[in-house]
Amino acid sequence: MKLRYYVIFRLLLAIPTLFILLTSVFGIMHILPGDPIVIMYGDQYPTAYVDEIRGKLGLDRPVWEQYLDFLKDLSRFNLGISMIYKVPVIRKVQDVFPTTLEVALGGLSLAVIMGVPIGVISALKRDSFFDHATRLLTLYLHSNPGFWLALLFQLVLGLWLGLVPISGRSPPGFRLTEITGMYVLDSILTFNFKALGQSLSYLFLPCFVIGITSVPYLSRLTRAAMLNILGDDYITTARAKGLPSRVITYKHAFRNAMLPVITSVGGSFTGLLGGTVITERIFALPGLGSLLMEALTSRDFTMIQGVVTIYALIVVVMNTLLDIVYALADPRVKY
Amino acid sequence: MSGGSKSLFRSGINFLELFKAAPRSAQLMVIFGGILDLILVIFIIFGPNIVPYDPLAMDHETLLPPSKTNFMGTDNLGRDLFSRLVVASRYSLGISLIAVGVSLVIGLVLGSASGFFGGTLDRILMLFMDALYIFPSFIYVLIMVVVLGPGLWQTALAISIGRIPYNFRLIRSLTISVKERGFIEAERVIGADNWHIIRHHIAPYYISILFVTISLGMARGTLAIAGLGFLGLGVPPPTPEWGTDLASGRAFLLSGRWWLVVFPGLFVLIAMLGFNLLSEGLDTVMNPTVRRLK
Repeated sequence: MKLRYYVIFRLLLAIPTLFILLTSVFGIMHILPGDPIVIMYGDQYPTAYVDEIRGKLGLDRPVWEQYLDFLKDLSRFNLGISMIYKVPVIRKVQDVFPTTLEVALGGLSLAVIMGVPIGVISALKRDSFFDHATRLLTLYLHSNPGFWLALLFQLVLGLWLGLVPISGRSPPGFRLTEITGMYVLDSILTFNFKALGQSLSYLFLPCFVIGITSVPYLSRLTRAAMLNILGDDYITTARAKGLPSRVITYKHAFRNAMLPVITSVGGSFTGLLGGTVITERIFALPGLGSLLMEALTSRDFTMIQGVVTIYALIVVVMNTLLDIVYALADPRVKY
Repeated sequence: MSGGSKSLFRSGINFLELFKAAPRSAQLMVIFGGILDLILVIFIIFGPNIVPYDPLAMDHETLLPPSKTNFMGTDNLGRDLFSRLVVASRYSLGISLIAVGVSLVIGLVLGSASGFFGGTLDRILMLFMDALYIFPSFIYVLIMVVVLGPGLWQTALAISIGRIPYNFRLIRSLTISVKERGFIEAERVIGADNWHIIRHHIAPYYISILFVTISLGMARGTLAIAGLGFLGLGVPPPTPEWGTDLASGRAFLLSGRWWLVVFPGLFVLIAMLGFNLLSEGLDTVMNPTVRRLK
């Protein structure tokens, strides 16, 4: 099969995945234990008021009709009107999305920058002191609850040492022309270097915490992939030919070892997205996670459904893209 | 006739042999992880009996720093933090244990059916589980907790559902790999029936891997519960729970009351270390072939 067909096939395959996720979102919200309105609002409201809300949301109609409407609205990118804010859910999502994206990308890059070299070095110097030390360290980091680590960093780096700001996105009096909503990108685009420094200093803690919690996963995967490849016959051949070990390591082994790592970035991204709810609360960042928490506590039914739909979209798009990148990068992949 | 228990017993002997043959680092991991887990088990069983004070009684001065009498300090309501955190292991870990059990049973049924029968059933189940697998399970858990309402059982159910796709995939691939083993076929050739094969060959194999899975699941579950508690969606107060206590202590971080944040997190860390060390050590001990390849 040609690559082009594989890409089309992979894109088509994303449709049932997305469909299943959206259906389960709908299912949890509508079917589980009966009436979402009673669960969300309790019984302290007058019946007339509850009935009014139910009518407004169309919850008095049969479930399958609501389900079709949900899908129909989605196909037009209509996520409904927030019950609390009275604005389209999609608008609120657009407002907060850049924050989440910026922190997630920052964290993911830090994780790759820290995790991949650790994995490569410990594979090359297998059973050395470095290998054992990093193994212990990653095991410790893997056991460390991310939110606790975040609080400790806030306490030590922010409060005691005063090195970095502990929460928020920008200092008071922050000036920046917004283009994308991602402060770092915007300040580079507008050559605003003061804002760049400020936004980077605010981004540091959340990105660092996210990065460091993803390091164990990435570094161990890299180590395993490298070890796997270093044992391959073609590496022995390269050695026998007398190639310098630097060339063997970086040109022959590292490139091939990176392939499984690319796919697994999708896995860390999923975990990272789940963590945004907690991270954004700790660092008072107005992102998707905060929006979801707010919607959950204020029982904003349409908003919850909308934000979760967005989460589903993100993971499906991310995973599809990574699979395609993998196929592009590895000529050996049989489609 | 006592084949079932005999094969279990046999896998126990195997474990000791495997343990002796395992590398030093894996042995140490199992031992340290085991000790940490043992301490937690003692906390769960004897928690209320061994703590110095009543975890709910507000009969101390509020916000006392760690001292000889309250060696992890007291919280904002004048309760002894150490007593609270020890008793909390019952709730934090108990919920996790229920969740692991439920998700394992469901994963076992669906995963082995999918792997054993294959075909259309397998394809449909895989499509569903793969879709759920890529979705951040914590978001699911969060929504489920809100929809189901607060409480021990609801939290456990929510967490177990978030865990099902992982267990499903594991059990499915395990079933397929066992099904295709040469020795299973050999057994069949010499006339062994399905039941004999399951009891003597598949069950011991499953059991060794289940221990690793349970330990890993406990770690994930503990983290999820602490996370929920931290967001204020966990076990409702005044019940002690690590995440909830950490969240309420967080309000006093700015005024320098570090112990209210450090100690609850330390308990989560100890639990996580225990489960992770044990699962990783066991994994190496139980898979000598994989180890040799590495």
